[in-house]
Amino acid sequence: MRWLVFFPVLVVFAGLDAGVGSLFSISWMGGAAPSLVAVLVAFVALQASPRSALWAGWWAGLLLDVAPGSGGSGTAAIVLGPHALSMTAAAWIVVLCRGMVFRRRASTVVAISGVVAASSGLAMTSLKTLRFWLPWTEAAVPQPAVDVLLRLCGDAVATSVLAIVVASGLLLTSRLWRFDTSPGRLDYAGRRGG
Amino acid sequence: MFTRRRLTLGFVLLLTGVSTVLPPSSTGWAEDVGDVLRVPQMPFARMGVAINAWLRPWRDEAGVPVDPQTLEAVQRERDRLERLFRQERIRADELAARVRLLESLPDSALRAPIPPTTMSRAVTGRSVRDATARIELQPPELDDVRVRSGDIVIASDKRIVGRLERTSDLRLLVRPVAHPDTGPIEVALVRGARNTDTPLTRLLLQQDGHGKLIADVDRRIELQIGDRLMLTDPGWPGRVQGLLVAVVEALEPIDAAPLRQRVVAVPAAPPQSIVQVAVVTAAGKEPLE
Repeated sequence: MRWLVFFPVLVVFAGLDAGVGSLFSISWMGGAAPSLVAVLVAFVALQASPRSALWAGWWAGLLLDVAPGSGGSGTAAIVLGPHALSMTAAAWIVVLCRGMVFRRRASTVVAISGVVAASSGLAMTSLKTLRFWLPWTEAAVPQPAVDVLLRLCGDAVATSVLAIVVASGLLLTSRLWRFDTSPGRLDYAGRRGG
Repeated sequence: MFTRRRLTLGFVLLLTGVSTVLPPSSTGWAEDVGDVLRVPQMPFARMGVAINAWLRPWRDEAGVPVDPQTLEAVQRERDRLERLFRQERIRADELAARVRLLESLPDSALRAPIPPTTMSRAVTGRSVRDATARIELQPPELDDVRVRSGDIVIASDKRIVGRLERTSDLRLLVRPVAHPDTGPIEVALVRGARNTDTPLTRLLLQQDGHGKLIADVDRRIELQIGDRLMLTDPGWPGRVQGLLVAVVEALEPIDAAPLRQRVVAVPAAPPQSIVQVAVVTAAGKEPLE
C-alpha cells in the first residue's frame, strides 16, 4: 500500500471529522456522528495486506486520540491509545471477515464502514470502562450501557450513510493506493463490475 | 524479516496498551506528541468548523444567532480562563509538594521560633562522577523567599543533600555533605524502634575526600550495614535535626587500634541521583536589596 497516499487522506479526514462532525450529529441518539476516518479504515482494511491494514488502523486511531475536540484539547489530559487500539481492533475484524465479501463494491465498503464504526466504538467503550475501574487513571464515569449502545448504532448508521458518497470516491482512486492484495474473490468481484 | 515486522507491530500495540492505562500524571509527554500530530490536522479542522458555523450558526440559549465578534470574544475569554486554570494547577502542585516536605520535617523543626520555609529548586548542574562536587540549583525567582548561605538543602524522604554555599541571582551553589569543606558532622545511629531509656549512639562523621563519610568508633558498639545516621549536630540549624545524613555501607577493622572499628557511610542523598531538591530556610520573605 502507498503510505504517501494514505497519510494525507487520513489527515484531511481526521481534520474534517473534528470540524464538521458535530454538524451531522444526531442528538437524540446520544450525539452519534458519522466518521470519515472509519470509512477510510474500512476501505483500507478491505483492500490492503493484513499488516498494512492493522498499521493503518493504528495510525488512524492515533490521530483520533490527538484530534482537536476529541478529548485531546482543552483541559482534559491526552490519553494516547484508546482510539489507536480500537481502530486496530476494528481493522483486524475487517481483515478476518473480508474473505467473505466482494471487496471492491461500494456497497461492501458502505456496510463495512458501519461495522468499523460500531466495533471501534465498542472497543473504545470497553477501554473507557477498563480505565474507569483502574484506580489510578482518574477516568470519568462511563455512560450507561443503553446510551452507549444507542450511540454505537447511531454511529454505525450515520457512518454507513456518509460512506455511500465517500466510498465511491475512494474506490475510484484505488489505483493510486497500490494495494498488494492476493487474487481471489477481489478479482472476481472486479470482473463483475463491482 | 516478516517475523521482525510482526514483532514491531506487536510491540507498538503493547506500548499503546500500556499508554492507555497510565495515570494522567505520567502522560505529560502525550501532550507534546499530541501537539505535533495535531498540527497538520488543524487547517482542515478549522475549515470544517467554518463550514459548520456557516451551515449551522451558533445560537445562544434563547435561540438567537450569535454574531462572530461576540463568539470570538467568548472564545478569547475561554482561552484566558483555561490558561489561568492551568497556571493555578501548576501552582497548586508546587504548593502540595512543599506541604508534603514540611510535613516530613521533624516536630522540633516546626516548633522552632522561626518556622522553616521551603522552596523547591531544580538541579541544573552536578557531576555524575564526583560525589564531592558542588551542585548548582535553579536561581531564585523574584517573588521567592530569600535564601541565605548556610541554608540546608534536602531531597525527598528527609535526606540531607548539603548546605547552600553561595547564592546569587544566577544560581545557587550547594556544598554536599561529602565535601571536605563541610567539616565533621555529628550524627546518631538509628535502627528500628529505639528504646527511649537507652542513650543514643553518637558518631562524628568525617569526609574521606572521595565521596564517603567515615568515623572511628568503639568496637563494642553494635553497628550493621544499612544503619541510618541522623543529624544531631548542634552546629547545624535546629529545624533539620533528625534528618537522614548517611547510611552505613561498610565496617572495617583498624589494625592500629584493635579496639576500634571504622564506619564507612555513603551520603543518603548522593548528588548523582537527585533532580529536585528543597531549600529549608528560616529567612522568611524579605524585600530584595
